[in-house]
Parts: sequence; structure tokens; C-alpha cells
Amino acid sequence: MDYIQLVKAVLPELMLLATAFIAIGIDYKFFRNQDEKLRSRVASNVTLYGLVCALGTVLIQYHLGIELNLGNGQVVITPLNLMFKAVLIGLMFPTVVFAAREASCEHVSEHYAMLLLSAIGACFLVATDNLLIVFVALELLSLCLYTMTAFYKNYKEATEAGIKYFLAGGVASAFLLFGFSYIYGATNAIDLPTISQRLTDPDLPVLFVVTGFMFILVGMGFKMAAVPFHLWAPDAYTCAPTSVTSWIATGSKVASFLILGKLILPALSNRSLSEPIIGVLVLMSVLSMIVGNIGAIRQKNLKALLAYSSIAHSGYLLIGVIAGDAKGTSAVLFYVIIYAIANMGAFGVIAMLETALGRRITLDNCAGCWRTSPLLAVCLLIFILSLAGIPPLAGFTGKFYLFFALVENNPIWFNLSYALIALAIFTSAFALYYYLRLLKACIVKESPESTRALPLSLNLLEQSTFAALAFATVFLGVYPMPLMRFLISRLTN
Amino acid sequence: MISLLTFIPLIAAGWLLFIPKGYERMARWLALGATLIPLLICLNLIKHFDFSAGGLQFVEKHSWIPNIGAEYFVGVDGFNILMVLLISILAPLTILASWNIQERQRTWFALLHVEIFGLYGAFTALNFVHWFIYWELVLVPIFFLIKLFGNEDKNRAALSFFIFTVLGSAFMLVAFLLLRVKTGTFDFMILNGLATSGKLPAILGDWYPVVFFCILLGLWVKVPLFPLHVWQAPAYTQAPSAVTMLLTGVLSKMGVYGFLRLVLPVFPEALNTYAYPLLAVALLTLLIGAFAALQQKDIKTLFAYTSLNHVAYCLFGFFAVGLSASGIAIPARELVIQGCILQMFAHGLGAAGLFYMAGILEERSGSRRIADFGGLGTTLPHFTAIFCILIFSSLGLPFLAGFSAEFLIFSGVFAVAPVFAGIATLGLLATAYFLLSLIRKLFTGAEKSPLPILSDMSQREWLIAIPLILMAFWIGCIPSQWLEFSRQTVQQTLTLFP
Amino acid sequence: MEVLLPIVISFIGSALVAVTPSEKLKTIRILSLTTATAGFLAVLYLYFGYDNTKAGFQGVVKMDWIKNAFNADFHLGYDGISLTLVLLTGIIAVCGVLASWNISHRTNAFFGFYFALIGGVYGVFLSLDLFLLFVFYEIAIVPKYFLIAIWGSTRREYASMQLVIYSIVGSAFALLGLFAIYLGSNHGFNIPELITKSGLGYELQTQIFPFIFIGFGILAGMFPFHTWAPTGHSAAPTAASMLLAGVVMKLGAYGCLRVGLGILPVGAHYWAGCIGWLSAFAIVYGALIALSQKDFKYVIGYSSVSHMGFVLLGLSTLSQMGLVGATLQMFSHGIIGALLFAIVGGLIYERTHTRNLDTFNHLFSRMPAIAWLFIIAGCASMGLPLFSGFIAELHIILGLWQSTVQSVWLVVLVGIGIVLTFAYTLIKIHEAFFRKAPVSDEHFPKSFEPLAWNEKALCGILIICTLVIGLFPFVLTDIIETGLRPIIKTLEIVSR
Repeated sequence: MDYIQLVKAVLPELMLLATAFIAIGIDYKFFRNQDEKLRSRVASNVTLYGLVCALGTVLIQYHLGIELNLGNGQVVITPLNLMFKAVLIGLMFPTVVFAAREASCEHVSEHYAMLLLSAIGACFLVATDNLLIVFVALELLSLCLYTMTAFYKNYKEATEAGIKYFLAGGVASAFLLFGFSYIYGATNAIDLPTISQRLTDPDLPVLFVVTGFMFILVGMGFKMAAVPFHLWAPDAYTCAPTSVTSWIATGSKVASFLILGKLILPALSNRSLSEPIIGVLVLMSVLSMIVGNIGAIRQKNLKALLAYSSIAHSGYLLIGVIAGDAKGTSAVLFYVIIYAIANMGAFGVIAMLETALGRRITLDNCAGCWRTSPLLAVCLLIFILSLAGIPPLAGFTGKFYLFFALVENNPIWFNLSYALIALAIFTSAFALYYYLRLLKACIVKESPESTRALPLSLNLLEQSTFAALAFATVFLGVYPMPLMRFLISRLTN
Repeated sequence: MISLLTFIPLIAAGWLLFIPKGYERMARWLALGATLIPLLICLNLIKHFDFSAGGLQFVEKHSWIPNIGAEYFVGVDGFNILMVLLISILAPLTILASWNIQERQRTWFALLHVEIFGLYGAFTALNFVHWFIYWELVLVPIFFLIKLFGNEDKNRAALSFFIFTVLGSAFMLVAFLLLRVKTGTFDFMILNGLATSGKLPAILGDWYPVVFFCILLGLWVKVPLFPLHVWQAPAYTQAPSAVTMLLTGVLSKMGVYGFLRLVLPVFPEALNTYAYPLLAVALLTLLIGAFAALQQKDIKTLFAYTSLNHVAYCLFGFFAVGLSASGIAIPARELVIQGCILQMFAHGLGAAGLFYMAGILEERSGSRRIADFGGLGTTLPHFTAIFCILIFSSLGLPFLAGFSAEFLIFSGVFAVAPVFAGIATLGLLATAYFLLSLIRKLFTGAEKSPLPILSDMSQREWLIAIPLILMAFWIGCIPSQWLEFSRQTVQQTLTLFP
Repeated sequence: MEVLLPIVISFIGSALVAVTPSEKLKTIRILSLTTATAGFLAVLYLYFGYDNTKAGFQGVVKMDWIKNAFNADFHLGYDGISLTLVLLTGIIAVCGVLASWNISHRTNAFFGFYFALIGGVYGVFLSLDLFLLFVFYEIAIVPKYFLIAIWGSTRREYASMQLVIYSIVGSAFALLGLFAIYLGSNHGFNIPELITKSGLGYELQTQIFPFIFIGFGILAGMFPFHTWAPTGHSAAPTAASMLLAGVVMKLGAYGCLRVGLGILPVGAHYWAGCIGWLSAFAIVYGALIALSQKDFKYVIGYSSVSHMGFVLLGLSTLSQMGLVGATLQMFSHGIIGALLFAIVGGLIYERTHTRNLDTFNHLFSRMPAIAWLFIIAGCASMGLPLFSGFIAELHIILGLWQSTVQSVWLVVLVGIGIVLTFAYTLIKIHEAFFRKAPVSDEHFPKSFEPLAWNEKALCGILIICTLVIGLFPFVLTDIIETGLRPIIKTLEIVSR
């Protein structure tokens, strides 16, 4: 293996790794006895600089048109992968900005280091075709998330949520690995191009492969928080520090769906394999949409509400996976990016509100938010409406594209495909109910005089982060063509 | 010229609304002026009216809403010239009759003018849509005049008046929409032409009776005929007397005019077919009017039923037109229609006068109960004289207006349906009886003590009464002059009847 | 490019107003009035630039928008139908600003949402691409929620949520229909092409049509999906209920006409009888319920349902006359409905602070000018001649007689509906203005504030509009007929 090439390929990850070490050093070495606030500020700044450098490197790689395939698909650099790396690092950026707001533990820099490590995991995850690397990267990502979920050490429920998340995630990993082994057994390959080639083989042990994919689906179902493997999600989302929640809900989901697409797409092109897999996917999708949306209606805690909404969104995203062609996958990727941006923004708003209102933001105590911070209120309006799928925001275009991809390709019996879409459309129509309840709490209601929080002032960095997220949400809705074209052209090659 | 005549009251109404507060006295002069100009125009119309032509004169016709066939189309002929004259005579009189109104003068006069505008329009418009606008429009000011200025039970009276008449209009609308769909026109004259050439029944086919009955029903309410007359007495009683003058004088003629314009020239076959039942209804109405009047204790209600009775004479004559007149020496059909038209004119003036007199009495004494009065003959001699002349005209004393019209009708009907005419004379008798007994109760006998001392006719009241009295004599003594207006048109239209 | 003007002006106005600090009331008001007026002038410019000799769409702007995933163009243009409705929107927008002149609570946000709604409405009427139309259609939904939820009155939170859920469920139906249309024909979302040569089969059309018609019909207050209308109207602030009755309900009817009848003529033919009965029933039902209401705004709300029944009935006749009538009725009811809501919700409620008819104590003597305004509006609403409603209803009934697909008995129902309309209008006028209150209230003031300039202007504009259309309907019927020509053509082909 050519190490120069390897460094060239993983330079952004290396930068992130270096930054993670520096960040840890801040607590343990450079600013060891300093004030916590100062340490936090320095650490967050260092992290941000590191992220900017990494992002810059990715963009340069993209610009230079680097395409590499190292170690038999262990590290694969393609424009699509690079773009997703950019997206993930880009999503880490606001996460760190939000993290700077909250003091999650006394060793602040650990928080940043963990975030960076999980970002590294995510980056590796998207940039590989090798099943083993997929597993390792996914574990790196997940382990960081488990830890961070339980970061509020004094907070019993956080520990509980962390354990829950850890156990569920561990089981999922086991299933995933088991599934991978089946696939390996059937195809005698662990890199995706070879696997997809072998899957078209006529004398493939179909039952064996299908079983393998079922295990993979179970494992990925946990990671994506799709019903019935969603039980960890509401707890983890609620109890984790909000910045971490935002990363769980966005970054890990983006990476998971990309990898799910990569894994499942080859199987769906084989007729004998696709039917049972699609059956399971449809079931998961339907259940996620129903359970997610109904669950969300009952929630009062904003984070729990968004957790259920995220479960529902997994259901919508699975629709694109079911479509099973390049268009469907491009729709999934398009929507997952949009979803991630809007969700990141929404959790960001919650993170900001927490500093003014305390750790539990519910529908009751965020009343009058429009008065405390009009900017946040407007941004929240945009993010939530995008999640609800209201045009001209990106969420609408994305959902439309997802549904469209399914009915156009129509992989299942005609009317059933329409029925699935109908269910999706109607559940998302009813979803507007709880999204509007959230918006009502923040934008319509007057806060009671006694609990009126002080005006919330955001610094320039935070303001511009929110502005950028909001702008992206509007822009991708109004002018989605470049991104769509990019995704489709990359996926059809 | 007709447009000018029609729109002057509307413009005046708009102007009246914007007269500033404190200049209300000016309002009534303006109102009077705005009714006198149309009177002059109308006299000018009559001066230029060609008695030898049966067709339309002074026609104005402009395209309006081409895709539904609505046009701005006005004109006069023998059927409506007298009615236009009637309006222009009564209009200034109603203004004078409400000269001393105390509150909301501007609203009052403006509404009156909108009403007058609508009436002019309703009697001159010759395209259904155009005509229907006025036909409905006249209801609105009356509704509010009753509602705002009426007597104790005004709300109920106004509402039932409106709902009944609108119900009628709805049927009318349905009928004409059907006609429009089948024949493609809203133009009364074209419909008349179709009827003349005998094509209409074929075009309408099965719908012919439906259309006929819808139109009939629409007019039925307006006239009104039994049993749809129940709105009439409360409305007439509760309305202020100036409004009742218009209601009875002109509005009740709209229905009869509708028969002349929409039924006579368009549905001759139906008139032939249903002549006897229709005649029976008219007979029933006139008898009910007469006998109901016998029971009344309220002067205005009594006059309302009298009016019901008298307008029913018009239709009594009108419906006789459908009966076969062969083998009879006199032109029965022409007689009844001419009588009908003359009766409209004569009754319009006479009944308006009666209600005005009743209004004076009410204004002076605050009561309308016949029993409250007595011996007025000695205290109010002038009033008594005028009142009696009008009553005599109404009950058909020779040389007064009522006589000539009723005579024509009765002689015509007698020729074709002697039994009906015979029964109808019962109505005449009853009328004579209760009108005379009214005179007896009011003017003779002892004065009732609780009444305040009433003053006799003022100059303004004379001004109103004199034209009415003069007209009553004129029509009564020289009816031929008045019959001349409609003779050609009637003769032409009657060629439809074999 | 001039077709973009009204949309762009509204959205820019919305943004500008929203960022103006809410303390600067005067600036906000003047800015809003300017925006609304500018939008209206832009519409007038379109109207006078319209060449009535040419059928089809004019002033077309077409740009690529979304190409790879599915084909949707940024495609705008107008014909006689759209023009009529944008004209209505322009008028109502100006009047709505006048009606909300005194709003002082979060004024900037109010007008921000207001103009976002207006912009969306303009967009729907001017879109020639189904996807774009749908985008604008949904843009119009959310601002309604906030307008009602923040500035509304009784039960505002319930009503606003109900309204939005109904609308969004409606659009969900419509969306399903859109998918089917796209995939069933090979013309994408291009409305003009879909109208002239949709190529959709019989079975597909008859299956899709209910989705499209119900989807859009919900917003048009179609029976039995009308229940949002009265509650929503009553809870909304004056300007919002004017917009709701005036233009938002027309969005639905417009969708039914353009997409339902235009693109799916066969489906329309198949379902017309059913829609005819439902709408005729809605006319009677709306009137009957209005008769029994005690809340003044509910009366007007149900009268809206009844009047929108006429629109849908006109559509269901599938005849030239009926469609002209339906479009004209959309305009007419837009104006009259807005006027009624302005008077009841604005003029009267702001003075009496109650809408319960039982507490109104002979208001005629206390506010004669307003009473007269309401009486005029009531006459217009009853469909008396001289006012626009008469002409529109006349067209619709004529269309009904001519229609080959509708039963004659519908005319009877409509007749009953008309008479009931007279009845409830008169009775409510009586109860509101001429009656001694059954629930007597000693504190009821003797007199109320006289009309302010903005109230006079607003009522004046609307009354003049309905009179102008009542007297000179050809101002609109000419362009409506030209606009309807392609739709009529396909319908005629289908009926043979």
C-alpha cells in the first residue's frame, strides 16, 4: 500500500485526529488548572479551527478531482464520498458551536475530543466499500455517541439512557456483524463492488443471503432508529446534552443512510432477493411513520418530540430505499441531508433556549420565545416547517422527491406503492399537528410575566451558524437542482 | 327620454344621501323637484305618443351582457304608458304626503326615490334581466320603509311582504331561465313574436305548462291573488301612509302589468286552456277581499282588503280574455282588457287617495280604529267631502273613475261568462255596503268624546287631494280619452286570440 | 416577466415588513398599504395588457427549475380565469390592510404573514406548472395558521389548527392526484399541455378525479368537508377572515376548475352528478344552518359555505354558462364575503365587543351608517339584481338548465336555497339591527364611534366592486369566456 496515497486520502481524518489530541491536551496539559469557561472556549475554538481545516482539505480534494481506491476498497475516495464527508464535517461544525454553549462536564475538552472522534468514524464510514471498515467505523462512531449520551454524570436518567443506547447499539452491532458474515459466506467477498457482482449470480444461495440481509436490516434499523428498533431513541435524545443529540439525530443518521443505501441497493436489483427485503423495509417504513408520528403527538418535551419525529423521518427515508434504484437512493441522500440540516437547526435552537430556560424545554416553558429572541423564533419556524414538509422549504422538495421516486419506479405491486405513498403523505399531514403545536408554543403564545426569560443574546458565530442553516434550508427548497443533479449523476455512474 | 325619466330619481336619491346634516329642510324640496321633472318628461312623452301605433315607442336598446342575452331595453306602448303616467302623478304626491316627516328625512326621501326609480324601470323595461332587476329592486326600499318607519307590527309585516314576494320572484326567475334555455332569448318582444307565429308551444314542449305556471305563480304573489294574498293586509296597514300610497297605487299594478306583458302576448293558448280555473281564482279573490273588508275594524286594513277586491277586478276581466267570444255582438275581449288597463289606472289613483285620507286621520288622531271616530262630518267638512268622493269613486258611482273601468270589465265578462259575472256582483254589493257604512260610522252620528279636536284640510293636503279628485272625474266622465292610449296595442295583441 | 410582479412584490413586502421593528407602527402600516396597492396595480397592469382576442395563456414565463429528479418548470402565465382571481386578490389585499389598520400587537409579524399568504395566493393563480401551483398552494396554508392563532378571537387555537389540518389533508389528497397525473401522462406538470392533450385514460381519470376534487374542494368549503370554514372564519381576525372568505376558498375552487375539470375532463364527467347533488345540498344546508346561528360571524361563515356551493355547482354543470357563472361567483363571493366579514368582524365587533346576536339591542339607532352598510352587503349577498351575485347566480342556474349532466331537480333545491338565503339574511338583519335584545344589557352604549376613514374606504371599494360587476359584468365575463375556451373544448369532446 502506498502510504503517500493513504495520507492523501485520509488527510482530513488525520487533521481531525490531531485536533482531537490537542483538544484533550487543553484539559490535561496546557490549561490544566484554568477556569472551566476559558478551557471550554479555547477547546471549542481549537476544534472549530480543526474542522475548518478538515473541511477545507475535503473541498480541495474534491476540487482536485481526486478519486482513489486503496486496499481493495478499504478507503475509497469518490466525489460522492467526498461530498458526504464535507456534509458530515459541516454538520459537526454547528454541533461544536452548540456544544460551546453548554458545560456538560468538568473535563470540557473530552466532549470536543469525543465529538471529533465520532466525526472521524463517520468520515471513514462514508468513504469505504469494505464491510469490515464499515463495521469498525460504525463502532467508532457509535461508541463515542454512547459515551456522550451519558455525559451528564450527575443526572441519573442520562446514565440510564446511555446504558440503554449502549446495549441496544451493541446488540445491533452484533446483528450487523452476523449479517456481514452471512454475506461473506455467500459471496466470498467483503468489498461491495464484488459483492454486488456476485449477487447477480444465478446459483446464489438465496435464502442464505436473504437471512444475511435481514440481520443487516435489523442492525441498521437500530442505528437509524426505525421501528421496531427505535426504543432507545427517545431516551437517548432527551437525556444527552443537546449538542450531542443534534449530532446523533443528524450526522449518524446521514452516515447510516448512506451506508444502508450502499448495502441494500445491490440486493434490490436481484428480483429473487428484493421481494423479501422490500417486504421487511415496507413494514419498517410503515411502522416508523405510524409509531413516530403518533408518539410525537403525545410528547411535551421538545427533544422527545423531535426524537419521535426523527423516527417518523426514518420511515419516510426508507420509502426512498424501497424504490431501489439510483433515483430512489439519490432521493434518500438528498432528503437525509435536508433533514439533517433542519434537525440540526431545530436542536440548535433548543440548545440555545436551554441556556435561558434550564435543561428541560417543554411546550409549556418555551412560551414567548419569539419575544426573547426573534431570530431564534424565525429560524425555528423555518426548520420546523421544513421538517413538516411545507414548501418552499427544502423538506417539501425532498419529501416530494422521495415519494415521487417510489411511485415512478414502482417496485411493488401498483396500488400498494400508492398506498404506501398515501400513508406517508397523510401521516406527514397529521405530523403538521405536532409541529404546529411546537411552533405555537414558541411563536404564538405569550410567556407568562413571571417566567419571562432574559433576552437571549447570541454571539456572532452562533448567529451566522443559524443563518447559514436557515439559508441552506430555504435555498435547497427553492433551488434543489444542483444537489439533485450531482447525486443522480454520481449514483448512476 | 325614458332613461332620463327613470334615472333622475336615482340620481336624486344619491344626492339626498349626501345632503349635510342640518339641511334636511332642503332635502324635501330637492325630493319634490326630482319627482316633478319626471312628471314633465312623462307629459312630454304623452304629447308625442302616437295613438295610432300599437307597437313600442320611444325605444332605447343597447347590448348589455351579451352572453346571457341581457339587454338594456326600454320602451312604452299602450300597456304601460298609463302606468308611467300614474307613477309620475303619484310620485310628487307621496313626497308631499310625507312633507312633515320628522326623523331621518334623508333616508326616507332617498328610499322613496330609489323606489320610484325601480317602479319606472319595472314598467318600462322589456328585457327579462333588465326588468327583473327593477322587479326585485322595488322590494328593498319598501321593506326598509316599512321596517324603519312603519307602525307597531312593522317587522313582521316587512318580513312577510319580502319573503312572499321574493318567493314569487324565484318562480319567475326559474321560468325565465327555462325560457332562455329553450328559446335563447330574454326579450319580451321576441317571445311575443314567437307566440304570434305559434312556435312557442312547440319549442317548449313538455315544459310549456311548467313555464306558464311558474310565471303565473310569480305574478300571483305580486298582485296578489288568493291564497297568496296574506302578506298584503299587514303590509298595507303597517306601512306609513305615503308608502301605502305607492304600494297600492303602483306596486300592486306591477302584477297586473306582468299579466298584460308576459302572459297575454306570450301564452294565449294557456290562457284559453285554463280560463275557467283562473277566472274562478280571480272571483274568489274579489269576493274574499270584499267580505273580509266587512269584518275590519281598522281603516287601513279595510282599505287593504278593498284594494285586494279592486285589483282582483282587473284580473277578473283579464282572465275572461281566454274564453271563447264567438257569436257575441260586442268585442268582449277588447272590453275586458281595456277595462283592466283603465281599472289599473283608476284604482291606482283612487286607492292612493283613500290611503292618504286614512293617513291624515291617523296622523291627526293617532288611531286607525273605525270605532274611535264618529261625527266627523260636522268638524271636518272639507275632509269629509273629499273622502266621500274618493269612496264613491271606489265603489263605482257613475261619472267617477271606478265606474267606467268596472263597467267595461263587467260588460265584457258578462258576455262570455254570465254566471261568473253574476256572482261577482255580490262583491260589488258587499263593497258598496261596507264603504257606505264606513262613511256612516265616520262622519255621521255623535262625536266621540276622547278624540282631540281635529283640524281640517291644510293647503298642502288640498294640493294632494285636488289632482286625485280631478282625475277621478276626468276618467269617469271622459273615459274614451284614456282608453285611446291602449286601444291599438290591445287590438293588436288580441289578434293572437282566434 | 410582468407576471412575476404581484408575487414578487408581495413576498418582498412581506420580508420588509417583517424586519421592521414593531414599534414603528406608522412605517409598517404605510409599507403594507404600499405593498398591497403596488400588487394591485401590477395586477391591473396585467389586466389591461391582456389580449382578449387570443385564447390560451399570456405573459408566459418559463424557466427550468427541477430537471433531473422530476420535471417541474418555473412556469407562470395567466388567462382570463387567473386574471379574474388575481384581480380579486389584489382588491382584497388592499382592503385587508385597511381593515387591519389598527392592529398594534406584533404588527410587523402580522403583515409579514399576511403578505406571505397573499404572495402564495397570487402564485397559485398564476402558476402554469402543477408542482409550482402546489408549492404556492401550501405556502398559503401556514401563514393562515399564525394569522388566526396569534391575532384571532374566540377559540382561535382550536380553529386555526382545525383549518390547517383540513387544508393540509386536502393538499395531501391533491398531491396523490398530482403523482398519478404526472405518471399517467407524458407531459409532466405542464398545465397548458395537460389541458389540451392529457392522454390520461378513462379509468385513471375516473380514479384520480375524486382525489383532486376533494383535495382542492376541502379548501373551497365543499360539503361535507366544510366544517373548518365557519369556525375558522369566526376565529380569524378581520383581515384574515376577509382573506379566507375572499380568496383562500377560491384557491380550492380554482384548483377544482383548473386541475379537476381542465386536466381530468373524463373524470369530471363521471363524477359531475355526485358533485352537483353535494353542492346543491350544501347551498340549502349552509343557508339553514346560517338561519339558526346566534353568533354573527358564524352566520356569515355558513353563508360562505352556501355561496361556495354555488361555485361548485356551477363547476359541476360542465357547461359554458355554468363555468362562467362559477368563476364569476368566485369573484363575486370574494368581494361580498370579504365585505360581510369586514363589517361584522371589524366594524361591528370592534365597537360592541360581542358577536352574540341576542345581545344586540336595536343597533340601527346606535350605528345607522354601519347598519346601512350591512344592509347593502346583505342585499348583495342575497343575490339581488344590481349586485354581482345576481349575475353570477343567474349564469349558474342557466348553466344548470343547459347542463346535460345534471338533474333538473337540482334547480328546485337551488330555488329553495335562494329563498332560504333571503330568509336568513333578512332575519339576521332584523335580529342585529332592529330588535330589542332578548338578553337585555343595561350597559349597552347609546351610540358608538363613527366610521373611520379606513373603514369607509374599505367598504366603499368593495361595494363599488360588486356594483360594477353587477352592472357591467362583461368587464369580467369577456375574459373569463376566453380563458375557459380550452377547458370547454375538452369537455365538449368528452361529452360526445
